[in-house]
Amino acid sequence: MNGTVKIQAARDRRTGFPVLRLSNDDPFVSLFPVTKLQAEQWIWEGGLRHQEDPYLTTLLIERMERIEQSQTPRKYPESVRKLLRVPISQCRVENLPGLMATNLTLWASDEEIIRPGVRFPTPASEWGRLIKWIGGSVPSFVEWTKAQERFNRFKTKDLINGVLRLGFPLSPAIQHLMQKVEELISEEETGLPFINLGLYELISDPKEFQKITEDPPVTLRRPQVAGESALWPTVEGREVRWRPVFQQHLPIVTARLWHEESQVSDSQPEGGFNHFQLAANPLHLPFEEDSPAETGRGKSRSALNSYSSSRVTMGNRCPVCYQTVPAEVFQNDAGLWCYRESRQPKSDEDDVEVKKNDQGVRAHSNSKPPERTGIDEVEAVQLEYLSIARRDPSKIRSVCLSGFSESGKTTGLLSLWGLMTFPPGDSRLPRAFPSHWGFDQIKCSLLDFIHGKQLINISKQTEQMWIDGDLPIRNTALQRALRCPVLFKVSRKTNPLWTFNRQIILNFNDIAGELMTRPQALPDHKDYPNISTTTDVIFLAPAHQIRNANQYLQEFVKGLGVVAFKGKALDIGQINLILAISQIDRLRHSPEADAESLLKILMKPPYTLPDNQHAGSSLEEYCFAMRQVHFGLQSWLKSKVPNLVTVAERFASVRYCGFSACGFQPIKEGKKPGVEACLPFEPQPVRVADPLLWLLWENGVIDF
Amino acid sequence: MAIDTVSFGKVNTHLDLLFADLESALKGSERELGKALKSIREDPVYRSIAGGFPMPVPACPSSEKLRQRIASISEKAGARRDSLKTFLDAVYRFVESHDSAWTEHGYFIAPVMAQSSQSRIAGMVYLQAVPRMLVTEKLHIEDLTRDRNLLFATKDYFGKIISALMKTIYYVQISPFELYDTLTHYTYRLQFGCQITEGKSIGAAALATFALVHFQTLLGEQFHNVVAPRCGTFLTGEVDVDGFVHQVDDAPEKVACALEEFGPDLRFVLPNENRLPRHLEQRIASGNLHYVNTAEELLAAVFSSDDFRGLDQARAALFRLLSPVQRSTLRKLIIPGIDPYVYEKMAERRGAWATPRRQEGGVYALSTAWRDRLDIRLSLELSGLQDANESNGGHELVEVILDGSEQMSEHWIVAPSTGVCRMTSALFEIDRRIDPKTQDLVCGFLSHQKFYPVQHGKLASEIEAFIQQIRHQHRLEHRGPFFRPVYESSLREFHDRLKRVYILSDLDAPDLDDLKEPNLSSLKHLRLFMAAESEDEDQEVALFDQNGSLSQTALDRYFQRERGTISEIQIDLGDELPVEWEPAQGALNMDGESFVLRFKVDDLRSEARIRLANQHPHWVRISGQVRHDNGPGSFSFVEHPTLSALPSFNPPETIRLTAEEFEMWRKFETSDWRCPSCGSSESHLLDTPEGRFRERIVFESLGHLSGGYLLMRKGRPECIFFRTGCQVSGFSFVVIADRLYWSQTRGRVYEVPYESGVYCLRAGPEAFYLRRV
Repeated sequence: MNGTVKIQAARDRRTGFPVLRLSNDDPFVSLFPVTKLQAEQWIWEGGLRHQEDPYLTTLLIERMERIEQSQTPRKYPESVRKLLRVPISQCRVENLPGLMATNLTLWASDEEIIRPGVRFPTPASEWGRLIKWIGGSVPSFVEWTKAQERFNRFKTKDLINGVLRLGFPLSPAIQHLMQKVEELISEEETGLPFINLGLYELISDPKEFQKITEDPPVTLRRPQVAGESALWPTVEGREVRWRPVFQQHLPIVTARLWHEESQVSDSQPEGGFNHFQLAANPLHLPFEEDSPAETGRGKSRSALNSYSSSRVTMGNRCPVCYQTVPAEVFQNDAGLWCYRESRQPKSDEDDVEVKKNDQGVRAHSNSKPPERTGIDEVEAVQLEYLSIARRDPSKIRSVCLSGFSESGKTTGLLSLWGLMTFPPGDSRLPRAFPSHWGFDQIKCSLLDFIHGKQLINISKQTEQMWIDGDLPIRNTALQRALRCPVLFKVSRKTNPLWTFNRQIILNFNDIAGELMTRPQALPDHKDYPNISTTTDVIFLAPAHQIRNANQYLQEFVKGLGVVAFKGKALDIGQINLILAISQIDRLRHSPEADAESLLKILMKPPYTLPDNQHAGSSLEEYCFAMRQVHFGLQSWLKSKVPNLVTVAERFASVRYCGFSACGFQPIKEGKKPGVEACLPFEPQPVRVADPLLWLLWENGVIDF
Repeated sequence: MAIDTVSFGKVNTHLDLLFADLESALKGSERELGKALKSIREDPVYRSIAGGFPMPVPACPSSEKLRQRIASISEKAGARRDSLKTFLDAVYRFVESHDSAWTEHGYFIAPVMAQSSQSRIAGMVYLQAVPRMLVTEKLHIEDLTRDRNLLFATKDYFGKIISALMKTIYYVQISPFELYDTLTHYTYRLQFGCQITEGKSIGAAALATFALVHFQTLLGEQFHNVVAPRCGTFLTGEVDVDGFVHQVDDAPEKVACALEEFGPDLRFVLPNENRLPRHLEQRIASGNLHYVNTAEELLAAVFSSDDFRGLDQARAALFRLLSPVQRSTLRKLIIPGIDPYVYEKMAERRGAWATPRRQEGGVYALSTAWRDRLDIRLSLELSGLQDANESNGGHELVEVILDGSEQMSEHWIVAPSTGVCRMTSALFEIDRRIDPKTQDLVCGFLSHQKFYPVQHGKLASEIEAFIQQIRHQHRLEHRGPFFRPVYESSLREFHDRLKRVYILSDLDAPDLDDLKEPNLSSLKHLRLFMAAESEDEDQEVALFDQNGSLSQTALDRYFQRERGTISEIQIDLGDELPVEWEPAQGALNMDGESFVLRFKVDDLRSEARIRLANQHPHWVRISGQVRHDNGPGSFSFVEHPTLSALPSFNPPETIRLTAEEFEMWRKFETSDWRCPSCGSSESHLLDTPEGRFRERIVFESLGHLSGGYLLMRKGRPECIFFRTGCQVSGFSFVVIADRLYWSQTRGRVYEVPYESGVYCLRAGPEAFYLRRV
């Protein structure tokens, strides 16, 4: 104990909810985030009277109370149902956040978010109008964090109890609510109610994004929230986060208001405010992360089963259609074009017939094909790619992303792509490498990804996910999935005489998950010709279906077994497997008993990419943790799903890892065309780069 | 001045003696005066008052004498006045500084006996709650007293007192440790250090001090609105861990000591077993002497006043502060027989929002309790529960709350056939069923903070115009169906009215369940139409049938007046003994350990007023019979009284014997006795005159009494006549099943011995003679 601290208390002038402060120099901080009781008061006191259509009031009430949620329960992750209104007297710890005002809009129109200098919530938005009416403001991140730390010295129960004992003439509803929260909050809980574990709280610092795929590029601004959410399944640790909000009326954002003296009541006639005293704990210490366990640290590369690099499949092979290209064309110093050539129609009737029956054939040339009828789907192969493929095709690894349907292959790839792309020019992945390594990544684009409109555009989709918060609809077997080779280069001087140079091209190929259930369709599927060239497989098994993963992997192995390459069936023993458990965020709220132990293995810190611009963990530590995860998962799977390990060990080598592409579960609204789900926040990928880092490590690009 | 020459703690007396010394020194030389002043400066009592000793009680003879002394010495000192100034000023400040309200300097007086070499001297110590800086350690006995016996003998002596206090206040068998916490933040010192030889006798004062600090700490500024401790209350008694107050030694000497110092206006609280001699009792002003058996009674005596402050109010305030978790913890430890929900019931001023619950048999009940009083009203009509002389004329309030939100718009559309909307139709029909002589109808709206009276007999078109205007004017369609505004408005405007509340809406107000519990027992949600997917059709009521016609059945069910009579009532009071009740025709019986009062009535309403021997029960079970038009019925339910000030009963009829009769009465049961009626020397109270068949009392002045019991006390000229029971000098006499019982302490009831046709109770020097006349 560090003695006692005087805490001043008052009530906000409009709704009479308690506010606190620790010294005269501070503004008052609301004890609770804005509650539904306050929002309702705003409505009934005419908050929406300016609008013409009274039905909008009904819609707002339904949205705020989440009445509609009960009818469409799958719209949000299961835990978000806790925001459904529950009568105060029936509240439990789990659904206590249902007391808070949610789901109001943070901005009113798209015009607002492109306006420079916009602050959130915008005045026209529902949150903006509500906050103005109550008479308060949203804090900056620094203010918010300061308040969080300072109030964390007190038990939450004591804070509530202190206010209750002051005997303010609270309305019965407020008193009832406070008593309920006091009853339910545990003795161990410290700080202002809900600030540590409850809802993301709005902060006033906006964040800018630039969409370069728009013509001209567009700058957008988004609100941000701080804190942690007990509702949204997330794999985050205890450190405070702040993250941009992508959804206009996200259900889990609330606001804790800061008030000036003039905005609160109950000042005493002789000056000053009512106060109570509480015993204070020492200032909250930053979260001490577990030191990396020794498991795995001592194990060297030799402790892992050997990685096979004997299979070379991309020599004289087109990376677009994966067909063999005549050596004289491929090895020619000129460029390489891949296109589809159809039979020339002889008449109009014939034209219809040709379009109906003729699939055309892929052809290659060293010059751009002429623009004429019968030639389409023209794609150029990047010169950087060609120079390596012509000189040393073993440096090109064809990586097949495989896994369950809806296991998150596309999302995982887009998440990884986001790490390679954002912020533009200074993206997260290169920053994970020590600055003296001279790490470089070159996307060997097969298309004009910036402005290309014909095929699937990975840049567009990445922006969609990372800036708009929209996840693309899943790939079907009837369409071509994302496919992109990336050149990774490292050039570092290890001593004055020798420079360590390594480079590798990883050609990432996404495939439709439903193909997994039809392995017989794999060999000759026209949209997935890459399968026969596969050197590495990243197989994704969703965390919640891990117990069925062996069946799917077995099916995939069976399918690969019938795929022929150069007239011979594929030998699984020459292909490397990275078995990745995806969607590990779901484990946070999984009812299964094993979920916690699995999450503990996967969340071995550090679990987010290191950053050479900030102090913290290094890439070496990260890679050690990655290996710990591998060994931990291997033993966990051996005990829990032994059949999966048996099937996996038929590959040349197996590396185990797990990731969450977003860090939380998306909202499956699907309202917009072409959108499978929406992200409430900017993605916070966890370990999503692990499969890539494994490949770079195995191919010698990373060498510790 | 030695302790054996002046009783310690008698500050005023002590100062008076100092004045006497000073006065004689003034007559002598300068040297003698200087010697006297030096002696005064070294006097421990003077040094104490100069250093802020507790202030004396107001207007007591001794302090008045001090004032006179100051004036007299100032006059006599003449030129030497300056040398006395410091002393005189200090005493003057001490005498004048008293504040009648309980302040931070308030104190209780605990009498003690000091053992000197020659004798035992009665004295007083002053218990003052001294809030010190907050500490986190637990209570230290060293902080409480300097009494070596207490320090070394029983380490947990004070802990037991606190435990008894918590058990008493919170009705628990074992006090949860958390309740001590507030006390551990303060420590207390027995002021005016002295050696205490009768350590345990300070238990009563310590208990009261702990209670005081508990109230002060938890209630803060509410403290003075809730309890009324009197500065300088004299408390003595040994308190055991179960909360019983036991006798102490030398009580008369201690009381005499306090009386000498402070006079008759001091409030005295003594154990019931320490009855004072008559001459001492007479020296104490009326109403200032309290004999107590238990900690409950002790706290009630210390903290109660006639202006609706006291222990029950303190409990209600404390229970309001309890968190649900604390209530739950206490509930697990509650004393058997106490209602587990006593914390909620006492904390919530029941009846503040809505009407009493309609019990089985269609009976409404309202019960009120205060100290030793309990009133119960039953009625088949809500309006029957209200006094006719109350401000609202005894009218029952019917609140009809309409939903004007957008989703109810179809019910606000005027129907061409009737010219009014459905809301108006419903309200009009309700108004038709209202009895304007006993009921008032008001109309409110969801999300609107005002009620509007609906004058009886208004035309439907007028109602239509009115409610449509309100809806339009306040844009209620833009507001949604929220209950809280109208709920708070009702609390504000009609908190003291008995009322029935009806919500007319097809929607579920989102916040209704937040506010419904725990007070809204009589709120009814009436739908206009039954919801298609209604889950519980039995519970839901629709005012319109499927054809769109108003359902007369539904309206009659809720707005038709009740017809019938209550024929019999039984009130189970648990182990609380009643001594007086009205109507006096009620009969008291024992059912196991419980006392049950039974009344025969034949009316739409009934009322029972009860005075109890010790305190009101916290719950009562009420059962009985009713006769409706459709046949007899019965009811049985538990009722938790609302705390509210109640008028006390008129004292029982007291008749004074004539001087001649009293002279003879003093000779009763002696050889000098001669019966005034028959002249016999045999002591008897009743006689059968010749030619009469019925016995009558031998004293002529009591001959007119009949239909009750006569109580005569040995050696007293006053006789008491009662019908149901009475309390005399701490003894309760009550008729149970036609037999006479007496009780002195709670939970102990004995039959009064019957000797030679007279009930006679002898208790020490006291003797009570009772006889039915």
